[in-house]
Amino acid sequence: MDHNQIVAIEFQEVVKKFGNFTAIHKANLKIHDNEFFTLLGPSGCGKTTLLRMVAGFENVSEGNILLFGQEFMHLPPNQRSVNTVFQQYALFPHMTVFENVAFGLKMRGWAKDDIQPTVWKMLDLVRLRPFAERKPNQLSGGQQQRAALVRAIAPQPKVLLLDEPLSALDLKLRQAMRLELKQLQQETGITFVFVTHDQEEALAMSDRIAVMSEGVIQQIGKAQEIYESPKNEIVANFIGETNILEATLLELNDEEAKYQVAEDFIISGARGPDLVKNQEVKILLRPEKIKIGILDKRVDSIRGTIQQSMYLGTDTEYQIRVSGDKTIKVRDQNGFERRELLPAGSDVNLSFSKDSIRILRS
Amino acid sequence: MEPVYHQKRAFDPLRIWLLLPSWVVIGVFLLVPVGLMLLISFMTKEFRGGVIWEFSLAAYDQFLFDRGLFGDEPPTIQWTYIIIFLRSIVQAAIATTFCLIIGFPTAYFIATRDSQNRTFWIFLVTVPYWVNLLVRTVSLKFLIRDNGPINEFLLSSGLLSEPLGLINTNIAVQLGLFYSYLPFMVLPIYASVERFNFTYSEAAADLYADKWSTLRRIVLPNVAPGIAAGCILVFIPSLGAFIAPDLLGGAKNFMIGSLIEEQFKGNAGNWPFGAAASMILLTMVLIALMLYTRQQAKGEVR
Amino acid sequence: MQVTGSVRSIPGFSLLAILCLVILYAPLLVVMVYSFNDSLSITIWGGFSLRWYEQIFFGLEAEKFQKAAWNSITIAFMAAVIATTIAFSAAIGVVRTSPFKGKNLNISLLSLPIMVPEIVTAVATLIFFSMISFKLGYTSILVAHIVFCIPFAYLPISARMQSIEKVYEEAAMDLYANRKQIFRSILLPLMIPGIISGFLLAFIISLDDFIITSFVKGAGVETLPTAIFGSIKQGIKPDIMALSTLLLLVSTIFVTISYFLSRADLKNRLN
Repeated sequence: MDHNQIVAIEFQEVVKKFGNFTAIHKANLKIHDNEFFTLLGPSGCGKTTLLRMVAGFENVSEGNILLFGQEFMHLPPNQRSVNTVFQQYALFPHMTVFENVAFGLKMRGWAKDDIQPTVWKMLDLVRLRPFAERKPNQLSGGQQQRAALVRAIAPQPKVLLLDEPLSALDLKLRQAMRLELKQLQQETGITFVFVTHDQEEALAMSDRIAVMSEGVIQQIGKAQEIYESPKNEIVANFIGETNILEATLLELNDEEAKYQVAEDFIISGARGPDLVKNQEVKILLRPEKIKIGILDKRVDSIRGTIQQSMYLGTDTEYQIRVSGDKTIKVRDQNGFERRELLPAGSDVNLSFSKDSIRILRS
Repeated sequence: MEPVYHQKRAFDPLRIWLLLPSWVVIGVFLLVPVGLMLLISFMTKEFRGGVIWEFSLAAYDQFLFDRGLFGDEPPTIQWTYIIIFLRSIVQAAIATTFCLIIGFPTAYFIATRDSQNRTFWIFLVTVPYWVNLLVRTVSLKFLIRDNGPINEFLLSSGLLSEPLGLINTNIAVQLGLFYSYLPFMVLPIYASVERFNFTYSEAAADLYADKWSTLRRIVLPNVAPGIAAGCILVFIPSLGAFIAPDLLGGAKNFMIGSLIEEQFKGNAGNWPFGAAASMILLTMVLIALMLYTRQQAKGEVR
Repeated sequence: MQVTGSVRSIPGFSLLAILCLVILYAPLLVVMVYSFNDSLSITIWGGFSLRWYEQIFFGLEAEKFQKAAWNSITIAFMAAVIATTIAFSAAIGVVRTSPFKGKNLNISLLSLPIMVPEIVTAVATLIFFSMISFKLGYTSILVAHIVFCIPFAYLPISARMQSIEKVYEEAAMDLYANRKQIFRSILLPLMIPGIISGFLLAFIISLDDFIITSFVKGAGVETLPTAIFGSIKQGIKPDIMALSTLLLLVSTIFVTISYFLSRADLKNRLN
């Protein structure tokens, strides 16, 4: 990690309890200035709670949060220079778009002559100038989203918090807004802290991602790190799909190791971290890393029988039975080489490169 | 760490200040008076209307027993007041039934219109509710009097040879109560039917239920809370009603309201007795409300 | 599109609904029509005339009715203003602060004046005023009206307040507004339809009240309902019908206003 980077938000051993329920367990996290940072996790994992503590809507039970190295937990939300884009936008229904965007500036005590040009600039930024005099309920979902975005950006916050802002939009609009959000972040240079449960959204936009589950930050890293080398089963399961095989370390040398999954099912691959012989491990293997088809002696190869196939457009998903009761999921891309769907019952060979497997200690 | 926004403190000074005016007004001018009324019901009556501060069960005793003119004969059950209370209950129940018979179909009909028509119908039903109750009852009295428009019409058209004689009967009182509180029945039922998700009834129809069994087995159980609310809203004010029995029922069809009122008018009054009768009415109403809330709570758990 | 056989349309229900309207409106319409009857006999139609209206404004009892009307309107106005203020304040306390113990108790207390039968409230209030030797009259009526107007003002206000999501206040606070500014620029403007309907409902309920007023009014002070009741004890006279028609008109105007207000509001929210 870059040590000369400025830290925008720092969570220090943050704990949040609601009565007997612990929503956040000792969260430690540094979010850098100018970063597009995403908190990713299933609903109820505590990611929104982290965000609301930064905004000031929830207090911290234990630990501390710093904003650019400064204490700010004692300040009420209206004195914190962070702004939030709410999930349902929360545009004030009785004000026009213009008044909504101007609201924060007015509350900060800006002079009227300074407010006007800033609001127009903001509206231009998201192409809402023609809609300035409309009420929020006269806007489309995407327009409301953009209005909420610039309303929060207008007062020039040090950090912008986005609480699942795209979840209310339909798929096409969501994809278009991803691009727009990313662009806006680069143009304004504001630190974005983005909360979502949509992994694709997170992978597409973020500089870095923190994966959360049940109140615990499981892993922090760049999109590729998180996808390619998940730290644990939870992360591997949440981001994309994974085959998880329980195995025993059979033998190992300096370069590689052999793992026994079943009696006639042995995988060799990179040696995992600090393993000893006969240790129980878990092998993670992404379905799309497996090649289906003819035997290739150069790579490990496993024999299996297709149980079920599902045609999904860009690719085909196979459930393949290998060695007794073990089933592996394989994704075969319908790409350049057009192939016939393999029927259930076909015997196939599965192969994968040695560095595409990941070993976790049980 | 200072709590910032969600102050989960039990004692929030701002909230106390916000709630204080309502506590003071309702406490001083309703709770204290009801407490005083309870106290008075256990005092001795003064003959010119008022009380003597001496503990006595006379008011409650008078309600139940007859001890002769001078109070020295052996007590026999005094039916007069019990009958008035029973009559009130019966009258209120009949009025509630009438309201349900007309009110349910109306509410159902309105709730199944499209949204434009719906609000207009609801508007039409609410207008009479906003009209002065006294004015409405007087209007009804005018309409059904022996020489009122209905009787005049029936007599002159030769359908009847003498007036219906509705006025000053139990039926007139029932009609009056029904007329007074009909909107109270329609509105809650309407609200619950409107909330009802009609895809359930479509599912029932899909599973071979005919219209009537769908109505009975699917719709009715789901809108039952609205019906219960409507019945309570009609029954409770009917029980203690004063205007309709007084104007339409005449002296023979006394209800609780008139009995209580008499105790506080002029010199014939008996304050402790009126207070006791009020306490009995209040207790009945609170019991009805308790049964109702318990029923509703049960419904929510289900 | 409705399919025949759908449970949405039950045969006969439309007829009963129309019957319901006829029952609700017939007496009112008859009284309205007869208030324009020239004949002294209140049942025989003697041609169109405004003489009974003239009589209530300029006749023998005009002064009594005018005084009663003045009392009714001023009491209703003051009671509604005070009850709406109290109810609004209480609604913020109940709905807008963090959850607290005793919330349900507070709601019950606020609806208590509706639950206690009117005649019981009337008796209790009369006993209270006479125990503290408070002179019955205008002020005692006003105080009693404030009490029973509170729940009627509270219902639409709290319903409206519950429908305003907390997130608007959070958003305002996030955008640097303090408590006072949030109240003035967010909560109050959003609450206006609720406050207006609360006020109108309280006003009409106060104007409507007869039982409680008749207990606590004392001698000499009348409101319109007690004045009308006094008059009809000697039989229904045509001028009472004219007066009733006027009252009816006032109520209808009020309910129409509130109807259009809520419809405009609904339209705004649906779009």
